[in-house]
Amino acid sequence: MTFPLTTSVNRDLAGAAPTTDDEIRSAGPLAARAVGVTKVYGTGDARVSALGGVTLGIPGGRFTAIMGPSGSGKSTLMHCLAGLDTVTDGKVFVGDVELTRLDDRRLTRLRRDRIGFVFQSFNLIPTLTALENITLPMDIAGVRPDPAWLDTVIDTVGLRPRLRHRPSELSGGQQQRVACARALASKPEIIFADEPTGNLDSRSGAEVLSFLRNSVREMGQTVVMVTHDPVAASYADLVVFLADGRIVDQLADPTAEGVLERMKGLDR
Amino acid sequence: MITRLTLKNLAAHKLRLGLTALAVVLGTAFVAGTLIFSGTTDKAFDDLFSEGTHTVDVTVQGRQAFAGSADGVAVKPVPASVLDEVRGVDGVAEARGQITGFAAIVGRDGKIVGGNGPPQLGIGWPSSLSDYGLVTGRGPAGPHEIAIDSVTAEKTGYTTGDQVKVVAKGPAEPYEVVGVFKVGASGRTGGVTYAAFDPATAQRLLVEPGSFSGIVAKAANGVSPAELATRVGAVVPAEYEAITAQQAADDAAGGVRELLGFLSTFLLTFGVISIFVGSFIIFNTFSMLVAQRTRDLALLRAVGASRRQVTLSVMGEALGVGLLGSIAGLLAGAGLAVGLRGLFSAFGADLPTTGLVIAPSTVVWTLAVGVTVTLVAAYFPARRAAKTPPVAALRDDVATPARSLRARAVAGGLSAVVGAALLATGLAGDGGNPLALVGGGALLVFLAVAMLSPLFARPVTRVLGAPLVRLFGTTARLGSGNAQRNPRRTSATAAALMIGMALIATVSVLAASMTASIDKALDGSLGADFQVSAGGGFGPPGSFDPSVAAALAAVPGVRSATPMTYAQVKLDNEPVFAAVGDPAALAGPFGLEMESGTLAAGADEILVDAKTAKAGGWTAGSTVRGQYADGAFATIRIAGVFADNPMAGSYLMGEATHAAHYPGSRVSTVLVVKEPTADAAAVRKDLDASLAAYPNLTLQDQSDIKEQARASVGQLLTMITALLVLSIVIAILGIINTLALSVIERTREIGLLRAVGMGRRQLRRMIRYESVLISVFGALLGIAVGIGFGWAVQRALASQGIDVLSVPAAQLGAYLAAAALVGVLAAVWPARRAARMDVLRAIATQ
Ligand SMILES: Nc1ncnc2c1ncn2[C@@H]1O[C@H](COP(=O)(O)OP(=O)(O)OP(=O)(O)O)[C@@H](O)[C@H]1O
Ligand SMILES: [Mg+2]
Repeated sequence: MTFPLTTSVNRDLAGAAPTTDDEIRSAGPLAARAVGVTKVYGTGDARVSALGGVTLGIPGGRFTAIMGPSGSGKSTLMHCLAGLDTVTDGKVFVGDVELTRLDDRRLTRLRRDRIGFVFQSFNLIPTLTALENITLPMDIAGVRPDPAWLDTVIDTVGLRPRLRHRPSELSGGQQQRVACARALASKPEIIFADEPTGNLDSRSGAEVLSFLRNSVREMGQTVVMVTHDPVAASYADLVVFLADGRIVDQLADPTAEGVLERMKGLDR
Repeated sequence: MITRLTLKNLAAHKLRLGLTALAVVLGTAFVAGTLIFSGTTDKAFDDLFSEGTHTVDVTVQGRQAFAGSADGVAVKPVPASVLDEVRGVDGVAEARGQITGFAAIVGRDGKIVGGNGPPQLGIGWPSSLSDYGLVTGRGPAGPHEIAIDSVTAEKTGYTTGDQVKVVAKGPAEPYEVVGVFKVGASGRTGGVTYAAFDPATAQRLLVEPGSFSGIVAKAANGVSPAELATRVGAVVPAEYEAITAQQAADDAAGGVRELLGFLSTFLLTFGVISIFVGSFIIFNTFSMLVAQRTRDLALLRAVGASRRQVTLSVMGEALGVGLLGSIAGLLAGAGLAVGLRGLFSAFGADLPTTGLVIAPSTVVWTLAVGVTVTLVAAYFPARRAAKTPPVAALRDDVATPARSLRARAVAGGLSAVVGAALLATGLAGDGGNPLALVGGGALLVFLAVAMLSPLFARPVTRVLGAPLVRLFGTTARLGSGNAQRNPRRTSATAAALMIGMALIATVSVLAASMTASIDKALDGSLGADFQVSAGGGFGPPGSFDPSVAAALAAVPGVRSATPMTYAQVKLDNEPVFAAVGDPAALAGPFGLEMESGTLAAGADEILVDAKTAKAGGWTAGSTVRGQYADGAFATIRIAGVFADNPMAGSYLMGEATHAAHYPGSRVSTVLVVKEPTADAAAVRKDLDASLAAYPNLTLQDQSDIKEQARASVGQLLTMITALLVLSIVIAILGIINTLALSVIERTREIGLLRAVGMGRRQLRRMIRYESVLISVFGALLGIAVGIGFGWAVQRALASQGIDVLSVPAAQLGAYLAAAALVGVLAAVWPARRAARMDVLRAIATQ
């Protein structure tokens, strides 16, 4: 599948985004960065190039949204940044650690200790209560959660009356908020969220998004969110646009209309 | 369309269905193996026994109404005068006396060759009209010469010129080996040892001087064996009979065949148990496959497939699994039959060989059993599949809503009640076929427990998991949660283990109770300090000359040495075993206490114990119609009633009766009582010395006897447990299968756990905990059921001497620990699979 992007448009749009490692590093403190990352699936006829050389910095303490048409490589990029997937070429750093050099054991530990996740669906372990799900990464690590912080997180997501409930007894929005609480509870350096509001109605979605934004504003959290929804993207501080496996544009302090505008440009 | 779908599904779920098929394979292999083994062995024995009929037409022997003596060999000898009469019969071309009896070759180690295995035979040379061909040397010709069979020669290294001791009726005596011969055409002996003597020596040692154990005759041309048998039968005295060689062979084979029949029933029982256990796994696998395919099935229904078609597609898969599994089971069974044969020869019973006999009926049975069980087990999941509402295709939650357990509780309760009733009836021996009743009852109880266990699977696994959670934290909590989350699945998986464990626990409780009862009985009653008997292992007890008792009585420090034996007699047409001896002399060693009547049994008199007297409505002086082994009928008088006594058994027959109706008047045991002041060790030493010439006899003191009883109970326990281990193996397969399927089902969950930082090792541990909880749950259920069964059987056998209930707690605890280990083992592979799962693939799976 190829996108109707002419080379000129591509170059034109790309001009707006920093493209070299030095450029992105000069922009300020980074929570994570990708340098020349390519990702190729399959071989021969089935060969798909999902990422075609992505260089990107995730600024610390900011809310970054990744947008792009379906199949543009958003999830792939996020998985590579979060240490869930290996890259074909290039380097990925979280803080100062180069993920691309870690073995599975260390990568797992890094995910456990320094990264939080929120997925589109199926975020919770059905046999555990809401509270147990929130503390799961710390339980796995065998560390005690900081009680004051845990209280703050629980109150922020407004789940106190639901802590003893199992996921099947919670609404979809509540489940996503539990997932957000889990991602926050272990004070990770960075939270990755892949379409966290994709399955929610607009009201529940707004709750989750405000919660993520507040965690950035008030707690200094770094959040990276993949989304399709211009409204969701407007909650972010920065929107990065992806098309055909490349970064084609970025937009600071976005509004929904602004994002929609750029997206139209990409879809053209 | 449905056929293609079935084939596609079979292909798609190769691995899971493969494990299920393996359960079918193991069960059917055991059935097929047993059938092939017994078919082959039957045929081999037929060949062996009919070998002799080529050269002999008619056999003359002492008449026997039934096998009278405990050792089953003593038959009234045929005097030489009868041989002369047979030779004079018109149509007899040739007749010869046959001499066979007990004669054991003493090995270089001073012990009997062949030990407690198959019989040790002595024969007269040339023995019969059948061929015993010399391999080396010549036939024995004097009172000090023997020839031995080639298998024994090879085993012992004895060869011509060697001096060898042989023990027969009397003490061991030295002989020179002058020849080695081959038995039959094949030279195979089936573990029997042969020592051949010249005819006069053979008669003296094995039968009686001037007598034969039987006569064989060959018919002249034109006379049929049956005709000859009639003619010979007309001239021989009434206490002898003439039968065709074919019938003699059939009779001889009959005993072996009966034994083999018993053996194959015994083995088949375990095959049936395995298949029953396997059916739980089949049921569970199909249930899980159906649950996982709810959406697919719903989609099928939504696009217009009928319920019948959905059911058929699942049943088609079951048919495939059952058929493939049974065919593989048949092949594996052939291998198993070869293995069984090897096992027998390892134990010294080297069976005659012939090509493997795979009868058409074996093939039909194996396939029918395998396929039927698979279809039945898959039927319920298939029906559930058909009930999938089309709307399930649109719903997100794949899990079907939990159905009420009420119907289960009712069905399970009903099955438990009926099963327990059948069991009770069977054990009480009231019903028609107690074995079928007990088996059916146990089956129903197992089903009931399996049906009811989901009701308490959750609380029990939670309680069992609690200490794990406290000790091991989150991984244990997750594992325990997984074990609790689907009680039906946990129960069905645990049920397979439950059955094997229950049977093992039953046998353990019984064995412990038996040992405890024997201990108690021996403690209470055995007045004898020592016991001398021929052979000590399995098989009928051997017999020996009563003169041994006199020799033992002469040992200093010995107060009495009382010979005794056992004999079969029919009372009111019921065959029973009676102890034989002088009641007055046996009273001391047995600790007999009379309740009424006299402590003496003259001709046609018998003593019975109180319990038997009560059951038969007899008192001292009653009479009962009886028949002895020689066929003679008599009105037998109950001379007295003694208090129940485990050593004496239920009946005690006097020596006069025995001498009149049972040939040979040999003994199987001598009970020795020492002077109270004599030193036991010194007496034992002297007794041993006086038995030096009888390597076939064993001397045991009380603790030896207890030890031996305990050892034989232990042996039985080990053997049955070993056979039940097969069902445990199948149960392990079941746990593996369930876990593997659960892992696949929980792919996304596992991906999530990995994403939020669970290490591979933690993941493996989580699955291990789940597995251990399931197995321990199954084992607990099994042990509980087993204790119940053991108790019931003990109660039923209380009147037969097993009057103490003993629950071997330590042993059962060890089984529980073993079950936990089983859980660990079963988790290895599914846990590895889960740990290897690609995190991303797991997250991406929808
Ligand atoms: N496991 C895989 N094997 C082969 N190709 C893959 C695999 N995963 C993704 N792809 C391909 O890589 C490309 C990028 O996929 P990705 O999931 O990153 O897109 P996306 O931007 O997240 O799309 P969407 O908005 O639909 O989620 C697509 O063309 C996709 O087909
Ligand atoms: Mg995506």
